[in-house]
Amino acid sequence: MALADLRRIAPPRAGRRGPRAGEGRWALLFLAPTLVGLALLSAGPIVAAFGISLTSWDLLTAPEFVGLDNFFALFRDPRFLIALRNTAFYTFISVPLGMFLSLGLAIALNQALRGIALIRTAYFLPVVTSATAVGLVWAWIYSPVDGILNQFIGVFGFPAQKWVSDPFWAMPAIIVMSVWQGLGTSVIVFLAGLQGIPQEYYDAASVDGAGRWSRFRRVTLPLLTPSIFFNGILALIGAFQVFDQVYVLARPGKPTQATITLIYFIYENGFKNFKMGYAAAASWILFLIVAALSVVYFRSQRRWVHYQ
Amino acid sequence: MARARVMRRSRRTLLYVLLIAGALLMMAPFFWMLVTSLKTRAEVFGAPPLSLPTGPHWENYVRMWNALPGVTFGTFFLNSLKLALLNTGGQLLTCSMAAYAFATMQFRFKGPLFGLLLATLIIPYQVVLVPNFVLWRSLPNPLSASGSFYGTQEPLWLGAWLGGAFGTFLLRQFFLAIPNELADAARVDGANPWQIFWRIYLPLARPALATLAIFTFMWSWNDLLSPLIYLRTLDQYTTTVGLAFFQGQFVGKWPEMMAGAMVSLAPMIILFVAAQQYFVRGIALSGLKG
Amino acid sequence: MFATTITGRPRGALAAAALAVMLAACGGPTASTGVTSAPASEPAPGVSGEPAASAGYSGPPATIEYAIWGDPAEITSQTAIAQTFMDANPSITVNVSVSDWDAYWDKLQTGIAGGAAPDVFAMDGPLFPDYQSRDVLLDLKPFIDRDGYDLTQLADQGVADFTTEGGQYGLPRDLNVIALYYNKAKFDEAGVAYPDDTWDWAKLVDAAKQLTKDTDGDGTMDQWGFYTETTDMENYWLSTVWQNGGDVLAADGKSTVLGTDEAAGGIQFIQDLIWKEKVMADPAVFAETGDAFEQGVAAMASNGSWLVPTFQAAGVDFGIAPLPSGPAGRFTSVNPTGAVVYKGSKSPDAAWEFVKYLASPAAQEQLMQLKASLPVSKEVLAGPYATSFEGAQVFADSLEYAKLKPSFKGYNEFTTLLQGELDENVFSAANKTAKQALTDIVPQLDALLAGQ
Repeated sequence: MALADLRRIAPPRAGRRGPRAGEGRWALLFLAPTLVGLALLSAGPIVAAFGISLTSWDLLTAPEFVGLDNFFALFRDPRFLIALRNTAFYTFISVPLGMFLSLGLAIALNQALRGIALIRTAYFLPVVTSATAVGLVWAWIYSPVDGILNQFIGVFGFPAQKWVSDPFWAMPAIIVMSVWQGLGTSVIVFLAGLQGIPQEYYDAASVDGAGRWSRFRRVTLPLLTPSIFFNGILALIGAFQVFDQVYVLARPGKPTQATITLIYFIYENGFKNFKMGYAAAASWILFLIVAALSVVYFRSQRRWVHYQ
Repeated sequence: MARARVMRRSRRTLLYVLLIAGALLMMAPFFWMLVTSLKTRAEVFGAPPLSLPTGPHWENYVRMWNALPGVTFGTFFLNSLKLALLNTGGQLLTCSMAAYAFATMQFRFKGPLFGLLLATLIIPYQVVLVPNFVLWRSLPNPLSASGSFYGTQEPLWLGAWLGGAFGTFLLRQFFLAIPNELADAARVDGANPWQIFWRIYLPLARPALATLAIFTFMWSWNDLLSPLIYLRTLDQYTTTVGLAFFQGQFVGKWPEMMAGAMVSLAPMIILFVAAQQYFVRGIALSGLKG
Repeated sequence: MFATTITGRPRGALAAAALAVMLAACGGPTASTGVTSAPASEPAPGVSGEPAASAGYSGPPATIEYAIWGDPAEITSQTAIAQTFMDANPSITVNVSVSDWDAYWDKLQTGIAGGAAPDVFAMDGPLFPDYQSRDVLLDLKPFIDRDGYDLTQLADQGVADFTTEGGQYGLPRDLNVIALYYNKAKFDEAGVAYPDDTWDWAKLVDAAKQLTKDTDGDGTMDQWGFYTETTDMENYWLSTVWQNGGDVLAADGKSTVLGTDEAAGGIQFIQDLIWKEKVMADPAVFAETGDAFEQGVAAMASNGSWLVPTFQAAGVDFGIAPLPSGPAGRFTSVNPTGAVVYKGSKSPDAAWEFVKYLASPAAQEQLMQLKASLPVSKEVLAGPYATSFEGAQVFADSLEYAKLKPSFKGYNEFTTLLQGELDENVFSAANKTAKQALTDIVPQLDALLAGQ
């Protein structure tokens, strides 16, 4: 039986209850692999990363303790501040844009149309297409001389732009490419979520005279909020860690520095400038920012996310 | 009534048109990959990008296959496949177990533990790269002759069997949406938590499991830096590493690289198509017993 | 900056190995160590005083790891070289560990940090001081002295790049220089005489103007007279700075002299090529799609010797000429790639044997087959290399007026900062004159150098 049918027989009731007898031991059993992983593979390296941020370390010689100097230096470093600004800009535009587009797309792809499986696969392709291929095709689209985008806007009389090579347009250009590429993965999550909405609810709403839009607003959207929440937090975390797209399409230095992001800054300092301690400090600032945003986001769950 | 039907049909046609137009746009880079893999080097930038190659140059595929000394691309492919399967299996099992605990049980430190788990997602890998490497170097490896994990493929998949933040989070969301009454009913019948997990929750979570499988497979398949850092010999390398060699420092060998990328795509497409059935609306699941 | 691509069909490893053996057998002096007798000097580290004049290694069986970056052709070539070495030295096993350029340094640094460094690894000239100053490289001078190895058999600039006051921390493995490529077909079509060694800046501009055309009359240029990459100093601007009498670093290496009029003039020349004389495209145009010369869209290019196989594969009918001379004379840059030994290597003697072999004429001739760089062995340079392809002689001769690409601690950070300014305000857009941009950035560059 589908999950939908189950909900009809046994409608869920909210409410917490205390732990059942012996539950602690069962929890331990289920969590055992994860706990080992956390202790062994995560805790150690994370503590080490924090320790490293308090040192000056070039990876090749022994680290030297410098206390909080790295953190102070970061805020005086114009390159770090630019990276921070670029990353924030990228995040606060690409996340809502991506969520909005992928939700719409998921609903469209959820129809029982003929050949829909094939079409879905087409939308998934960018996700598995080689990042280099994606970058090159978009480089062609954005090409300053005969790129499609310039030709398109030329029709409306706008002058050709340099896009990726232009300090002003570089970040937006990257955003468009990454949103486009990321659609596939968010759509999958939304599709899985859409499966969980019982047809009965839609039928009931139709019987009550609700139109398409009303059904969407009253049935689909509320029941999809767990998936929206999930996609949102991942998009947020992922956006703050944007690296690959920048690397492929508009690596800082080829030719503009306008696309430097936090992760690129961290990578550059840790592995090119022999300043791993400095890089670790930057990654802690990144961590704190994202953690703070996540806490806010999680707290807001209660207001708008409907679990069964 | 007829008018409504006509309207529905034209709306459906519009939907089709938009979806297909969008699909074509989505497929453009893929098409570019295909076309480039069959061109000669000179043709790649000599003519418009999506133009067709002058005779399909299948030899690019052969060249790509045999490019490196002592190994073929097939070796890379098998290595990637092995690692991806191990990673996917590990994540499916251990993340669902952890998710079940977080979603259905009460225990001390539940909140902080979940928070800690999520926190691991936020740390950039560039910074834990070195500490992780040092860790794997120091851990004793009972299974290897050298006693060390360095130079083995184990660091690339063992971790997957020890839980994961993304998978646990995804499945927890899904499990939370399953009504408690089902578990209650089973418990009344004398089932223990493991049976409830295995017989009730997992089967119901197939869409989410399929999703997790796709993502884990993909991340494992596309991982470039870890194989490079941990592996030492060519015959252990994966497809991503094999492809990186064609990138070149200034000028890429696009035809061979795209040929390799085309070959690499195949398992993921197959996986996605296979997983599609879990996304189809209203499919009957046969998981529930008793 | 190392070479990349090659031409045609890469030989299978077997064929390459066979070729290497053949060359080793009938080439010149095969043994890797050079000349002279071996004095019974102080015992060398780890080996009982045996002079290694010919058959090489006489220590215990050793396994060494040799790490390199490269594309498939280079990897095949180096693996074959390693195989030949192993055949000649059965008690040494060489494991070749490869990666692409980008990941190479990540892997190397991670390895050293984690105590798992290769015994022998490839080193890029400019980055050498960063590694040597951090004491992770083995001084090879004791081995050189013990074996009586003659450093003068290798290209001087190559050796110098790995020499410090204290010792010799590596041997060069191959070199790259910059020259002027020209597309013969385009020159013939426009009726312009080919570039030669009489050319100067004015001649270059003049010829380029005749070769910049708008063939289909749509207002944008379809053919450019000149092309070069501006995102790295090596491709051209370093040479023009020298040609104008300027330099990058002061003699003591502690500050930059890019703020002088001479240095600025060298960079201004390139800005003018793009924005005043308009014989070179805006760098944005070819930033992603790559080399205009390779695509047959530019008639001339200032670029590196590593591109020969690429241009050949693209089917361009090209010639090679020396870079045009500037007001202060003729200069070009040379950038060696070296083989260095990890200080903590457990088999330093075996490592040294291998490093010597890499620079030996046999291995160098093998390397030369790729046409992707110049050999460091003077014997091979003067002999087989000069005739190995059309234009090779020009490369070989250019070593006479070539200066080393600047190599100093903090190189990456320095160039990132500098190029950031140059790319944004001088090359991609003529926002500032070269002098203004340099004046603006020099204080930060000096601060950086001072902090190293």
